[in-house]
Amino acid sequence: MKIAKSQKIIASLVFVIMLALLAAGAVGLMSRQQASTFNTLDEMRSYSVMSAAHQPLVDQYGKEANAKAYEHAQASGFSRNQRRDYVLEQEALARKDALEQLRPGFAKDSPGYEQAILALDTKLEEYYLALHAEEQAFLADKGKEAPPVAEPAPEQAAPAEGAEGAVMEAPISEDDAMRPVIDDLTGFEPSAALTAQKEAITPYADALLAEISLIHPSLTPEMLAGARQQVVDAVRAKGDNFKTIYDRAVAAGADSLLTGRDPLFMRMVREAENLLYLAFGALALGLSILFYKQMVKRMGTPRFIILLFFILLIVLAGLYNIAIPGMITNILQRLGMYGVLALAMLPGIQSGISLNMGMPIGIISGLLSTVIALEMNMTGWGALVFAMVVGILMAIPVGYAYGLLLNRIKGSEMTVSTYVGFSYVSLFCIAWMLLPFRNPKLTWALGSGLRLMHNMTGNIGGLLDNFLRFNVLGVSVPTGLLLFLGLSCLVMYLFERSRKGVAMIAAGSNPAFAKASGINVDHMRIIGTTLSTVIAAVGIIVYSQSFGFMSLYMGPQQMGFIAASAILIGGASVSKAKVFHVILGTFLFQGVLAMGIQVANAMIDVSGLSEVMRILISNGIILYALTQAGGKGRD
Amino acid sequence: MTELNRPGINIGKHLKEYVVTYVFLILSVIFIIVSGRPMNDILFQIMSRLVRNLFIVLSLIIPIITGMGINFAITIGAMAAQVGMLLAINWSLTGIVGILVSALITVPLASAFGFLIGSLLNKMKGQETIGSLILGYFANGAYQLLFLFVFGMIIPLSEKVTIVGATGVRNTLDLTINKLQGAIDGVMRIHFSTALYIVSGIILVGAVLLFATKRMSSRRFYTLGGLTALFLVVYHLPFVQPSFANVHVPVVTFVLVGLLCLFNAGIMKTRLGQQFRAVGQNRTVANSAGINVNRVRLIAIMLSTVLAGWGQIIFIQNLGTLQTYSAHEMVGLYAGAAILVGGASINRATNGQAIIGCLLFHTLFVVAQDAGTVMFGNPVVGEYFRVFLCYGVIAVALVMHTWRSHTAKKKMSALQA
Repeated sequence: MKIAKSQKIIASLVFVIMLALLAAGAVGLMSRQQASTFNTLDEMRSYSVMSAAHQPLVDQYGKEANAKAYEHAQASGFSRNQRRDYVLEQEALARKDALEQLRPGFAKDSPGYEQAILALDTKLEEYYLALHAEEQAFLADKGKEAPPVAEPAPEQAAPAEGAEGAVMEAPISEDDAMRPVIDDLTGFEPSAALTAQKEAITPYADALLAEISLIHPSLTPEMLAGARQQVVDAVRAKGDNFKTIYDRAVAAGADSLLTGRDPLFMRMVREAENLLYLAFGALALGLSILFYKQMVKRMGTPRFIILLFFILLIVLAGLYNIAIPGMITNILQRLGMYGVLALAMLPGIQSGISLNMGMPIGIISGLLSTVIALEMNMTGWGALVFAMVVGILMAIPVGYAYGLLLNRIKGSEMTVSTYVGFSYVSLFCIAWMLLPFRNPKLTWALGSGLRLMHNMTGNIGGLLDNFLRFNVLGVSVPTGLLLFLGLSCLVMYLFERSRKGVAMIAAGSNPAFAKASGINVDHMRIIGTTLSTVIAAVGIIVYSQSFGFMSLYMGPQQMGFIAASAILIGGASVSKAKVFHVILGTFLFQGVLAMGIQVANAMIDVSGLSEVMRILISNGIILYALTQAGGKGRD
Repeated sequence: MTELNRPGINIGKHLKEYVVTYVFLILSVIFIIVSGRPMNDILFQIMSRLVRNLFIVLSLIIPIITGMGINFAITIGAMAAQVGMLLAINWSLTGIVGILVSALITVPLASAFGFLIGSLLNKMKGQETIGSLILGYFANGAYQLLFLFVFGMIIPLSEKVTIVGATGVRNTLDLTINKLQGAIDGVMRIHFSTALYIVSGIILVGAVLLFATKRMSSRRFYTLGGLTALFLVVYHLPFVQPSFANVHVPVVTFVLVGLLCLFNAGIMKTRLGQQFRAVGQNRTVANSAGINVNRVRLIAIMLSTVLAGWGQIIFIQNLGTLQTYSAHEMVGLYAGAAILVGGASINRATNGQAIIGCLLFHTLFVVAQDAGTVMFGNPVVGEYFRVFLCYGVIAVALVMHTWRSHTAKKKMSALQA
């Protein structure tokens, strides 16, 4: 396919920019290791240490100005508000003046001063390393507890029309439960050796303060004592690296030290990672401009746009310092969680019933079997296997009946199955309340009926996830989960190639032809539907154990949409799908969702935004996928 | 091959079409008896619900006739109306003025939204029902974004409507302080008996006139006359009249509802109405006849959305409080289920079906919770039963519709073979 001249020109420009960014970023990163950069940074640090040491002096000036201004205001008869404003203003002005006056002095140093800083720095570094090691050991001993159950996001929904809203407690939102666990250090006690190490730092700090007072006699020992902690922190704080030291120094005004091209250079060194992220983004942009037509032809416009959006999110995540390993862990987990559910759509599409929006029917079979397992207080692998086997057994007759229904409504399966699914979910809402479950862990305290959400820790929570879990580069890989997903895909793949599978696909892609070949199309549709229902039952069990919670009642309602859009984004249509589409689609969908929420949270720090973003992003993707389905779907 | 016009077959066909309606009727009667609630309480509740919901249910008719199925995206029209009401409250407008201003603001907003909805639905022909459903969810997210973040931070609002100590609009907005509650209803209220007499009078007089001038068939005249007379007689039975003692009819609201019915009927007689019907019956044929199918569908949705917005204003002013984040959520579902209960199908709906459906649906709604408590000892079960009814009705209606058109197609192809 021809590439237009304008495309080539613009793409070349973008590539040039990319190369510049790449060079700058690379140079920046490498310079961090060089001696000359270290020297400059040391100079800047000395400056910021001096600035920290002078804080008490500046504060003193400020206080004097404050007192003077107060007297003046009293004498001039200001009102209380006027006086307060005036006093604050004068104090701020005085502090600024003082800082300006003292600033040139910050650059002063002496050999003794420099040595003192270096010595203190070494001691601090050792201390912080030891502290970090002990903290990590402490956390490892604590073990992997269940993530603290977050307060349900304040549901803005109040019951409509009196008491018509659900009377149940608000369900725990997915993002709350899956938020990366912030290391909880409560109860951490430093060892005796560590405390001794901390004490040993004191003489070095004193030595530094002594050197400072030699250079600046105006700083009295009392003042310096007040500034002690800030001075120590200015030398080295916990978790320091190039970026933090640089930022601290610039905040103190250290860039006035640098002359010529140095400020720009240091800035470049500091922003090195961001420059590399931008280079990556520019690369993607250039490539997509260049190969726009080919890519759209190969993967369709919606997937192309989503891929671009995905890359944009990666760049933004990098710029906002969102931890990449944590995000990759999150995405891997979501891939496994939703993968099997998306896989359930596959046999449905292949057998010709288009998207099986009645997936809640299969999901509820899985939920029911799990609840039965919990009722009998089963735990561990036994519970998991029991739940899956019983779930499959219960899903088969239900799927069969559902398949019979679908055979009567050929052509409108999608719309009808949505509402059949919804009705089934509501029916089971009644059932969950009335079925004779007695286990106090499962039922409401006050009455009968199952609870809304059930905690999976202790029975099957995390079983597959943690099986053979390993860490690489900070990414925690849920091996068992991904293995199970791979296994399920393999089974489907083999089934596709078996005789029954081939017949089913034939019936789905061209019913008339299949019928002529002697294939019972209706029978094949029922097989596809039953298979889809069964996989959905297994899928919800996998989902619940990974998520850590099982949500009954209205929980299953939205699952059909999520699975459908996942497979559609992967490149499937309502009449044609492969296993590859399932994996790719789930990855893209969940990737965009997970990253989008985190980036949105980082960009705009307002609580409650993540829930709204989740609604917008997931439903937006579903809508997009549906417009594609509608176009190619049967009328 | 034409069906023979024998009365027996007609009754069978009638039953098949209206099976959901009759099931609901029987269920309602059973539940009324089981719930043990006093009749006058039930009737009072039913009347309030009718007042609130009739307008919205009627707004669903035009898209159905245009073949776009149940327009669940009327939720978005409701949202537009709520933005209007928010602004009216924010500007401290009172009474009828406030309502009128809200209605005025709703028009451009709902039209714009309707345009977007329609454009999107045009891209998913054949999947409109699901499409409008998801669109409703998506719009709900955008609405929350608007009300929680944009309104607090970017567009400043007065303290009357914002959450104290945080950004965003309050959960509940009280309409009584601005006398917005009952602004339309309260204009004139008459007792049910008065209303009954007036309405029966109008119907009888009108029927007689039309029959005399030969514009109404004798069958229709006798059915209408008979029914009206029956209602009057039943009303005067000893146990019926006191049940209606508490029931008052807000005149203006019902006049508005009546106007909408006339509008629905009237627009069908215009050229646009013909286009609606043509597109609804067969898009391809309509296209060949030179009708701009996409444009017609767009107009249908825009009309429906604006009407739903006004309907939501009526709803809220009757209720008296605006639950900012949840009032609009179930609008599409309840209205859709209601019209289907009345016997409408995915491509056929009339005013009468909408009214009967609304009546039956909400009757069951009122008594389901109590019946649930009595039968299962658990009020929550009644709660869920209501939701189940909603979805169940829609599912059954959809299944029946597809099943029937399937059998019809099979018959046609069998005949042609």
